[in-house]
Amino acid sequence: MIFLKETLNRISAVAIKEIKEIVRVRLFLMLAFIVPFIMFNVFSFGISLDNENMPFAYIDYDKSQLSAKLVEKFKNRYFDLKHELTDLKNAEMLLSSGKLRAVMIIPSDFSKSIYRGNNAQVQFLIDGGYPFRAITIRGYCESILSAFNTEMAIKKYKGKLLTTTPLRVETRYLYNESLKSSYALVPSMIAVILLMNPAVLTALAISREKEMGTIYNIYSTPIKKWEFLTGKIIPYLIISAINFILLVITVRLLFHIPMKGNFIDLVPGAIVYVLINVSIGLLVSSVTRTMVAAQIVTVIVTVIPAFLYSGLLVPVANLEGGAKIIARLYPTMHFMKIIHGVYLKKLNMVDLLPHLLFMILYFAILFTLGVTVFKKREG
Amino acid sequence: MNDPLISLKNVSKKYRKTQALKNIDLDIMPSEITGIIGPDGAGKSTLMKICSGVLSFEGRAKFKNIDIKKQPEAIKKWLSFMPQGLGLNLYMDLSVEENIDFFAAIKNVSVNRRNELKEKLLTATGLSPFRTRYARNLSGGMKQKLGICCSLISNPEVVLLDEPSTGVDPLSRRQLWEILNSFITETGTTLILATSYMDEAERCYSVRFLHNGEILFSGDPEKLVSEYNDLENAFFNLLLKGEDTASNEVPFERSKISSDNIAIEIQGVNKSFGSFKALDNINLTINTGEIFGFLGPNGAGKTTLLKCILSILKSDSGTIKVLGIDSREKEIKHRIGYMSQIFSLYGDLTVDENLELYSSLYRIDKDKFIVRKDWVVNVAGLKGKGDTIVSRLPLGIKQRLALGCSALHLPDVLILDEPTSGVDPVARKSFWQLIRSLSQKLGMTVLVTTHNLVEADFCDRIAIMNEGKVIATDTPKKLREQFSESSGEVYEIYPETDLDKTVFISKNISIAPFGKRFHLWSKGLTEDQIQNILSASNIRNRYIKKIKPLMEDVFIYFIEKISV
Repeated sequence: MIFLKETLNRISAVAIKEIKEIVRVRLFLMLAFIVPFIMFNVFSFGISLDNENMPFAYIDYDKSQLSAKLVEKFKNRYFDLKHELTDLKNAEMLLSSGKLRAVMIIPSDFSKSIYRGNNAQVQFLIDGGYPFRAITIRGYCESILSAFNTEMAIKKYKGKLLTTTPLRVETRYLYNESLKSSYALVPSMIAVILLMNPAVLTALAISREKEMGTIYNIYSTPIKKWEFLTGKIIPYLIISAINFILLVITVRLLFHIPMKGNFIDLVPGAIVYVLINVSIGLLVSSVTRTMVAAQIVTVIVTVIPAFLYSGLLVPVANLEGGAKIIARLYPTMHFMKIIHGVYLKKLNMVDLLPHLLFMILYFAILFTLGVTVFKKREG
Repeated sequence: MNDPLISLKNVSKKYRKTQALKNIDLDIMPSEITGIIGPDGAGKSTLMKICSGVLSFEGRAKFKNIDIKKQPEAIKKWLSFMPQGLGLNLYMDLSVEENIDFFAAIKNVSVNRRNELKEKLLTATGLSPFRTRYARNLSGGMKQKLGICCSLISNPEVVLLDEPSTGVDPLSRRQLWEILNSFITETGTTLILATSYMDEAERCYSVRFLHNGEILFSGDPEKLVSEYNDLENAFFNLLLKGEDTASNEVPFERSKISSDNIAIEIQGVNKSFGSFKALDNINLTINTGEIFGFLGPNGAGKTTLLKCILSILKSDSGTIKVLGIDSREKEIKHRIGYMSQIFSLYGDLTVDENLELYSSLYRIDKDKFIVRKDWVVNVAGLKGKGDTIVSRLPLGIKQRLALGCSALHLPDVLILDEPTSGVDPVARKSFWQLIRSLSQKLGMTVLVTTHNLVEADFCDRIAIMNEGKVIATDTPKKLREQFSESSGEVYEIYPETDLDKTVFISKNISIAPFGKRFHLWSKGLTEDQIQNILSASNIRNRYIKKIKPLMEDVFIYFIEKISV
């Protein structure tokens, strides 16, 4: 009993000390709250703006009423319909210079094929420099064509029986019917921010003690390693919890993105996810000596994989081989699944349990590793 | 005889290539003050860390009956370790009280015991009025006092302090020792102390001289004092036996400035930072070729005054003339050399690169540079090490190199801000020899600040500064005479039984502890008088002898005289 009390005393002493320091150092306070908020908004606005009003042009070799009609369909908020182009070379040049995101090429037999009841083909050239955007554009194009198809089919059906669809469409978009990429992307940014920020802050928290020399207080006193690390984690868990709530509110109020599921279903995932990232910070600062090194290493091990493997920039489905396995091993993908599940699919905790369990296991391993790697002794 | 509290057998420690400790055998006796002394890089900190169980090592080490190597965690409830560096174990954004509370909590001190001991410690250290002040805003001396409070709050059996008084002003240093002395006699705490101050070593019951990772002497410092006259001397004889590789030859001449013999004239200089008065009506005249020392605690205004002379800072009022010219004039800057308090070399550059950089900054001709570079490399003892990265050099050598760099353009006036802070006595002595040769052979005027009062005697004249004022200016000898005239001669006694200080204080005799010995002074005090008092109180005493007043006592005398 007395042991338990002493343990709790020591943990709370570390946690309280840490909170006081954070609150009193303006720079730290900014790093804790303002920086993640700004980063979230910058990233999210960037993502949601970029996928609307994309410069788009077309080459119409058919020059029929029907082709004009199809072109007309691209006059919407997703595409900024530029002038008509005449030759392919020009189109490629404009694409590669980034002046256009996509070009539609309508072949000369377009209307003929349709009237004959055959499959007509339309070619799209899409700027693939940014895979996620390319996929989004493809999605937009496919849905526009799909709408066009339906329209044509109905018209045709009135005349004679339909044998084949005039244009081939396979993709259907569930869950995000309005096809707003921001509906999926902006909530995903929560996962990125909650990855980087707690990890960097925690890494700083321990490496700062090493750099200042206060770490010797920990080395030379009876406090146990896990007690110290737990005490260190608590303040960052609190900070991240506040940030999480702030970000969810921001998504709703600033980006007007609805949450189909229940907020409560998001909470356990968020907590475990933050614990994982805090442990990454602990682990990094256990092996680095200076704040600068800790910060750089943390950014490298968190942010870069988060962007690459979490399905944010490149959809996990598009990854191949080893990358696909890494993505599945990476916690961010699992938390993004939870976010998408709650935001878009109205899933609940039970549906998302496998992801949650995986993350809990992940945390257990990381924290144990952190406690093992952290030494109360020098070399 | 008791069993040793800490016992090391054949302990070695290697950091990559450097052998920090070589087969050390060491016993620390309980309830004693053990001093670990030695030059920079001797292995003092390594030894302290091994004893505290925070560093791995080879060999055997026991704390009581606990194997430090196998169970380092088991010993930690008994000890407190304060690492080297001013306030480095403190949390700067916590208040005085919060710092103490934090240490108490992680050391399992109950709230009641903590509160009781905290009040006692805060009162003893004079920190009571500042309990809500953040550690960041404490002076260097106060930080160290707080550090010691934090170390003592758990009432440990052993306190390990790594250079607790480096960079601390003399008044605070004296208070630190009083706290430690009284705490130790009261509680029977064992104190292990690493220090590079020889006067502090003399206050220890027993010392270990470390050099290149080996113990060269182990025992009562008294033995060394009787053999070598004083510890500084013993230090040189024991450790180096004259093997100092650096030379102080100056292989070239400098056309000395003739004109009048006043180098610097300061009249009515004031400087405030906000409401804080850093300099308060300073008037000083410094002669050419003189080595002039500024002595005073941290925050006395030494650095501010130097910066005003350099016109890095603009004084609020008053005039400063350097070599007869207003110090703000551009032409004067080439005739001044400056070595700042913070290390003024580029740590990531090599020795040669640093020298080349300074040479091009001061636009020194190539042929002149070659001669002077050889000279600097020689005086710093860096022959053949021109491509060594500077940050890897020992502090003492770095400081000689920095001095060489700032004197490379052979200035008329050389300004050195705390050049010997943290430098061990051997390096310090050779540093001062270098200063002396610059002054004598090249006729340079040298201005030096220091808070190490032992260095006062190396200067031709000194100014004692406190709270922005110059409170005394004269030669060290004359200042001592002034002290003796008003306070009387100083005697040292060595009581072998417990001594109750009040028997002297009640007779208006000043008494200051000095290790196991005491210093006594009062106007008209004689040996007979002291002998009478000792006999009357049944105190067995080894000797009474008249000594030269310590500069520390002189310093405190002037400060108290001003404040009365």
